Amino acid sequence: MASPAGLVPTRARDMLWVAPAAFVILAALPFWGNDYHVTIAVNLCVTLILTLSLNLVVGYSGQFQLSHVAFFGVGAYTSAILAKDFGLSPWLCMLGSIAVSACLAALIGAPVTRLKGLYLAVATLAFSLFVEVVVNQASSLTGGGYGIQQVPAAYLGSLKLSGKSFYAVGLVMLALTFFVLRNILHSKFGRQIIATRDHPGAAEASGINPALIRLMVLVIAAGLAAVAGWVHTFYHLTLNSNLLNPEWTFVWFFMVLVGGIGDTLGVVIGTLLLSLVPEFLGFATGQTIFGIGVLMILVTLFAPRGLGGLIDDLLRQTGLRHAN
Amino acid sequence: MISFDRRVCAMPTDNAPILELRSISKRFGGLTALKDVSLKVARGEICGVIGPNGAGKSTLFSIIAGSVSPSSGSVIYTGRDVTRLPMYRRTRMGLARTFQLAHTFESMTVEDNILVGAEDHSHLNLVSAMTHLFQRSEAGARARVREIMGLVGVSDIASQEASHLTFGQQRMVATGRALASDPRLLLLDEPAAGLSSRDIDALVAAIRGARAAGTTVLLVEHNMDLIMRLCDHIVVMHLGEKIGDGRPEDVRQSERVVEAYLGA
Repeated sequence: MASPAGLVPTRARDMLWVAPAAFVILAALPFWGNDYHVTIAVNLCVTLILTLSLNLVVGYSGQFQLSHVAFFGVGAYTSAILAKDFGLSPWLCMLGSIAVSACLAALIGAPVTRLKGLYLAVATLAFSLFVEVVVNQASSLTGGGYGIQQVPAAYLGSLKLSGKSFYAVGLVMLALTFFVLRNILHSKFGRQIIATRDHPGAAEASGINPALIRLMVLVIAAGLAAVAGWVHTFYHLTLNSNLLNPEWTFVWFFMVLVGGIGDTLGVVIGTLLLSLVPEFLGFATGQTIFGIGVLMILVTLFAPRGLGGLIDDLLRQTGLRHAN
Repeated sequence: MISFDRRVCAMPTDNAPILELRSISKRFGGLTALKDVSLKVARGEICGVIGPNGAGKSTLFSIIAGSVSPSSGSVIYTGRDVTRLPMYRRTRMGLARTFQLAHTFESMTVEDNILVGAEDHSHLNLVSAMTHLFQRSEAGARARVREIMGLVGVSDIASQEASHLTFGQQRMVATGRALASDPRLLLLDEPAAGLSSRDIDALVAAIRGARAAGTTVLLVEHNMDLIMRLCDHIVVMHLGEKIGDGRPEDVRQSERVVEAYLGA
């Protein structure tokens, strides 16, 4: 494979064919399925937006950040509140969700992105728990533990977006996520992200402000997580504070790790595997977590670069991809 | 070989020093690493800082680069007090540095490593990064990268990942990255450490090329031979103090310097 000049991480070029391939498969999914399958497919879109954006933070930017669920949940709540209590159009709600989550990320990120490793993990986890508590307590706005029901549905002209038609919207959002992430990785900003991850000191010596780059990565990922929250809200039209359970961040983290951190193809595979397998095998939560645990151990032992790394090695061994 | 327009304009006719340290002291807890060090580096010279281990050379280097701030004293660069400016701000003002260890961006190609050095990082345009609309042309920076890769001799490994290179190659990539920013003052931290004599020849050529182009060079170095070959101006450090400052032939004859080295 000829190496296009200027592409930052070697594996990022896989996005070029992964994006359309994943898109076609996902687009075809619900057409031989029932409503249940459509729901799974929409949830998959939501999860993919979340794991891909989380991967920008933990993979490409190297920040061990555990507050992704807060940005997702706040995005979902903002949309629900703006649509139900303020009667805003769903498209304005999306802008509102992005703005609120991104501002929240900027606010928490300014002090927190100066922390490293486990300190960053603990601080962001604490923030995530804090958001969950606040949303549960602010019941006049959020409905507390009871949540928000009967969010008005989204319309496109006179077409009510629900079921398969809303799934199309979810797919568009997923495609936009791919587009934005791919563009970022192929830009000067992308090089600044990788440089800051690889060596913050050397990045600074090159004129890059590492704290600002980390912060902007967090803000963009939070904005994308808010889009996922918007999709969730306007598909389900109901939500409660389970959405903000910090456990979700770990589930997405596992998907990223199993797939291969900083590896887009791997993250897509990890997300598909860990979302669909438990769904179709009908596992209960306990069994799913047990299964994820076993899978994590196997991946750590036999494929430390994740499933994406494993595929990469296989392609190399069979000569389909040349060693770099 | 290199485009110098920016530097030529920046070189004034007066002989104000490009860098001046005014009574710099640095204490780490009870330890005094630097004691009242003052020095001036003239525009266009190659200045070498030498001294035995523990002399405070590295601390002095970090204070000039901006990764360590002094306990007292000030750093004046191109007539401006930069003592409180972070390293990245100084780099944007044309003060580039290298590290003792190569410190490349290991997952990037050689070409991208040097491109990061060549690019202007003072503005962050996120909209253009996300949409690829309103992008500025990278052609100028790319052309500069090709030039630099030729200068430091890494053109034939341009598309290799930095983590796959030998130490000497990584060193040249890091030096190239610093040169690519078109610095007015280039700080080199022990550039010859761990290099073969062939690599050292390439390094000497690169440093001389940069100087011929108008860059002022300040290097901290153990390798006495390299210092004597290259420098117009030598500063000798010993136990945190400056004990010698002048032309190589004068410094070599200074009694205090000879004493410090023989005593060490």
